[in-house]
Amino acid sequence: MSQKRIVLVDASLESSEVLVRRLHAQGYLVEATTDPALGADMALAAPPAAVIADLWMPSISGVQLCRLLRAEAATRDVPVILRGEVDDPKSRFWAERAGAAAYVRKGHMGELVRVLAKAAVVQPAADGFFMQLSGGNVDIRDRIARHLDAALFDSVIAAEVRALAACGSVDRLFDLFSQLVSQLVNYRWLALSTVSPACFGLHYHPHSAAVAEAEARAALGADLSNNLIRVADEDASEEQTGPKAIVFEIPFAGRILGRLAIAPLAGGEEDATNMLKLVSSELGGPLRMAALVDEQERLAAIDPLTNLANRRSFLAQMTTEISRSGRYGLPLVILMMDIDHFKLINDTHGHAGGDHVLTDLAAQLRHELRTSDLASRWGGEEFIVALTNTDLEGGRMAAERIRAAVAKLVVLHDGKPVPVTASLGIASFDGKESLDTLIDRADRAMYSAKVSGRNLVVAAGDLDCPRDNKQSKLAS
Amino acid sequence: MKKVLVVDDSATVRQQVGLALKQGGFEMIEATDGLDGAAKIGSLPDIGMVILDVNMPGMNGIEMLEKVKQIEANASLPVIMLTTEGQHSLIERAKKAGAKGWIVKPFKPELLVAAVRKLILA
Amino acid sequence: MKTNQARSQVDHGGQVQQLVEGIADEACIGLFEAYGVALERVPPLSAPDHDVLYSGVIGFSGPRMRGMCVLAATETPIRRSNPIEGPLNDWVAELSNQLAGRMKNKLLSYGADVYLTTPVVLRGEHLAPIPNRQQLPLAYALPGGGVFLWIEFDLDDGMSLSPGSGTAAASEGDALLFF
Repeated sequence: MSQKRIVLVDASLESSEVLVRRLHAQGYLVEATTDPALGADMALAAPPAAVIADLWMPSISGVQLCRLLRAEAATRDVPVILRGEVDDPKSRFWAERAGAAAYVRKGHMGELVRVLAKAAVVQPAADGFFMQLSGGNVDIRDRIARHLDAALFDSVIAAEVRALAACGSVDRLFDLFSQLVSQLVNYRWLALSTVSPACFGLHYHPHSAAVAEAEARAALGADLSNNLIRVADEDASEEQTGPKAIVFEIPFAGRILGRLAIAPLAGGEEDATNMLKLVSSELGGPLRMAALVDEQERLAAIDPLTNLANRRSFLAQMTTEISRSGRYGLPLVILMMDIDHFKLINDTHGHAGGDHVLTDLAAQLRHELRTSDLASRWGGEEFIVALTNTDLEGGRMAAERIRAAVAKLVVLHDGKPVPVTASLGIASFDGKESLDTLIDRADRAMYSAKVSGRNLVVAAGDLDCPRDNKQSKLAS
Repeated sequence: MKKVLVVDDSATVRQQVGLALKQGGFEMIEATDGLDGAAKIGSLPDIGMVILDVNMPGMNGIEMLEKVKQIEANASLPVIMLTTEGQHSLIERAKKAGAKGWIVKPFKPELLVAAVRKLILA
Repeated sequence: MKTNQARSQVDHGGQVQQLVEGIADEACIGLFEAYGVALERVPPLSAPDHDVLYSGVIGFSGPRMRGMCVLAATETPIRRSNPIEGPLNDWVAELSNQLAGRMKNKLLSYGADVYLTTPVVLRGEHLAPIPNRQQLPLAYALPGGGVFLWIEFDLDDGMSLSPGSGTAAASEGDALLFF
């Protein structure tokens, strides 16, 4: 079939009507749509003799479409003719930058036809009669995201920022975001500070680390204890001095989620300001999304009632920790704690009362521990703690401190005080044993404390721990 | 998910379209001519889209389209013409009557399915 | 067929016939190719023997012209070109329809405005329409079968077909989406 086929993307049905007739009169076949993504799909599925598209389109611009078709092997040689309402240097410039074969003003049919006649190339017949189209919009977006360059426009940039919502964590979002912005404008550093979760992200050139960090923190008033995300590469400029940082707030649903700051290069203040204004207004959605996903993941590892790590998470983290301790010969103590007469508390004060005790106790526990210790809920009324870099004596002291704190704890439920004590058992890592064994020894020690009168700390090896099993864990 | 009504007097074409639709995950309802098609649109609740031939005995596709679109309930029902006809006057007439596309046979299955996917009523 | 218009006996009919046959030839080869069957044009008398022929007859009718197109084929090309496992009669009808459609769209660009009648399908042995003028069909061969095409076209006096005198139309492969 020697008839040349054109793929036409025209947002206006009226103007396309006229053009299609003219194209038919010239002997071309036409596949036409108003949707650029569908047009891209058509062109990629069966490379036509030429593609005609509008320069400015709401979702995917003609420039992006052009770059996409240029970048894909199937359509590399397909000429793209871009059409626009005005004939100005800027439009021609962008069209050319995008790799278009020509830029033609809409309505100038004669010129279009002449340009087409020269440019339209018969593509080698594709395999088979039935073509494969891609899945649709998502695929096109992915592909466009891979071909970013400086020829982007506001609507596309906004769309790109919004698309970051899919990335799933604040860390990753900042990484991709800084990649995007660094393609659009030159800067010395780019920083993000968020409220919840409290994060501080900084993109800088490796040689400017200290300067960038100092300036960014000053600009954003960022707290040193915030979760720090560092991205260091050559996409940020090496310049150490420049104009003052520009700061914008990131709004979302009536709140301020955080702030963005950028340190422009000399002469680039206006560009940087415009760019930052645009992206900061779009970043709220994706940021919120990423934070929610992060939180979801965190929650999966957290016991919702006590806010301590859950059992699964504790075991996962301890597996790593114990092998580290073994490798470097670091001391490690496992502490098991069981609330005394918990069933009685539940019976007397109801499950709400029991929950109240658990929550208060967990909070107290956290208070007594260092940040390097890992506290976790182990069971209904059991807690487990990993005391890192701690030997048996240190562990005993810590356990005793906790026992005392718990005994002194005043839990008020419905105005009534609920007396609480706990039985604690500790075991010190022998350097070689498995995690299971270590935990088991701490458990037996705790059990020993229980049967020895409760409100007590017992270390494995102290007394002869009864070997018989937990069936005598009767009125615990 | 709603179904696609395919109106064509050729059983082969209906089956061919049906196969393409099925591969795209869509189900088809067949009609053999304009009257049959119009009747089905009037009576079946689960038609989400129509693929319509033009040259059919009795009422042709364009007439059927115009008649069907006169009924307000069908205002948002997407219709794509699938036909051997190519005359612009007919194409414009269909477009004016509310058709969402005009494909000249033979059709590219995946293109048709992509169009259905975009247009079909939920 | 109206007879109140004098039908020309002058051999400009020969030119028209040639032109229309050319359009038919291109349409026929293109059509079968679109459905995966390659046809080779051969002189009619050397066409393969046929046992059973499937035939589709389409009429063209317009204010100042008229004609008909008969597509006949052995089983092989019909079966091979059929996109689905279905009744061959129906496919022959559709093939004739699409063939006539292609021809009509091309004729439009030559200034001929016609409408097509519904295809009539015949099945039998040694079928041949009785044309107004004794003429041989366009013949095509393929491994295991053959395709024949009889075209007849009449123009009223004073009418002529010339390229570019009509309006171009959409043709097979066009997909105009209004969204």
